[in-house]
Amino acid sequence: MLPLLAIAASVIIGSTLIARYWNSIKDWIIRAAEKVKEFVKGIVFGVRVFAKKLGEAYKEISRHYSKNKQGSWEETTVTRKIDSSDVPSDILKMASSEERDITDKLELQLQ
Amino acid sequence: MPIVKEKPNKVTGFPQAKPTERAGIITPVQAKFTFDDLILDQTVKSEIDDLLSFRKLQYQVFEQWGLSKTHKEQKKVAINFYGPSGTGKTMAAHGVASHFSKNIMQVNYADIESKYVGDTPKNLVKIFEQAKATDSVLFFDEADAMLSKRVTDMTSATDTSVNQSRSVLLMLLNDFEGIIVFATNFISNFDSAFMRRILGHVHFPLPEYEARKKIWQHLLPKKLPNSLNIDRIAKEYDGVSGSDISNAILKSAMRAARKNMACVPDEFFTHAIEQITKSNRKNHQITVTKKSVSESFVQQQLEKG
Repeated sequence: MLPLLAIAASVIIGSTLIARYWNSIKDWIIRAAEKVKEFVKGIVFGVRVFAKKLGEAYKEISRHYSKNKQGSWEETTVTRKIDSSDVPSDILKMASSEERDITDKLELQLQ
Repeated sequence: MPIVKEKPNKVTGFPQAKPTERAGIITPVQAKFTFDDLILDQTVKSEIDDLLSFRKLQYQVFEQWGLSKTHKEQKKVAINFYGPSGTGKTMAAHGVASHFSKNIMQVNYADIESKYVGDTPKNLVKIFEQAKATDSVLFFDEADAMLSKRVTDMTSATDTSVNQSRSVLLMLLNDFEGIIVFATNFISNFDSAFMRRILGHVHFPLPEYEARKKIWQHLLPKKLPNSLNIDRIAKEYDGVSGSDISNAILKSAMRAARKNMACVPDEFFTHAIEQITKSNRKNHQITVTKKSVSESFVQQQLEKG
């Protein structure tokens, strides 16, 4: 699981389509974390990132794990749908109709 | 208070809500839905049940246990339903009214807003008086228009008027002892003073697979000849609301009828829901859902990375 601070503080170097794509995922997770703040009052401990392909659409899913004031755990899922044409073909090949955990792949890109 | 029967629409034949009057008096109508008409996530339903039980426990808590002296302004049941469009917030508000066997007064901001400074608060007062006199559930739809943060840097008469209306609404809420429901897509801009006066906030998420499946089953009429594979469509098309599913069924049935087909084929439903999700993608880039999970599940997720 990725800590949000690590994502926010990291950079992904390069101007290739792949680097641009991972950068867009990184930016999106930061945006998603902002959105999560509207729904979650407790501390978010970390996030996992998934991808899924559905017809023409490609979905990016981030799941944020937090503990509320009553001590119960919550999973807040933020989903973004984008056109497959915006996703590099290598990554598109990886995606299927089942959710695929891409947290480790994103982690490898973060420096 | 007699229940106002709705007249059918001359064109469609369906019942229609009685038009509201801009003067601020809104006719209470019979609730159109009960909770049986709604397919809700179990967590959502249980949160609503908790809030509804508050009314039953009021006598014990306020009168027998003395909280009527210390919590004078908290005898109302104020509930806020928030979440994406089409997730059942309005139906649930009607469900609340049905639950208490009361009529409902549905208020939209346009019903009470006046271009004349000072008239909007007067309309608000009339509505609260009407709700009290008729013992109706008060339902503020698109509530963010009324409950959003007050303007701190007032530069015009409009700003002053908006703040005046919100202050009046706060006072009316303090004095109100009935049942009031708010519904909104945008909770983030709510004024904290309103947040404090609301007993409970219930999030209406987009339905998960099991709920989607139930919604398809519930909304597909038994008499409609069709070859829809409900399990597949519920699995493949997420990020859709109950309202989206309802529209997809209607569009598919209409399309088959137009083509004089005896049965609505599976691909019509798929095409309809695909079109809806495509327009949703353009319209709403991000959806958020929340659920409770076990500690062991989170532990598992932590250990993965």
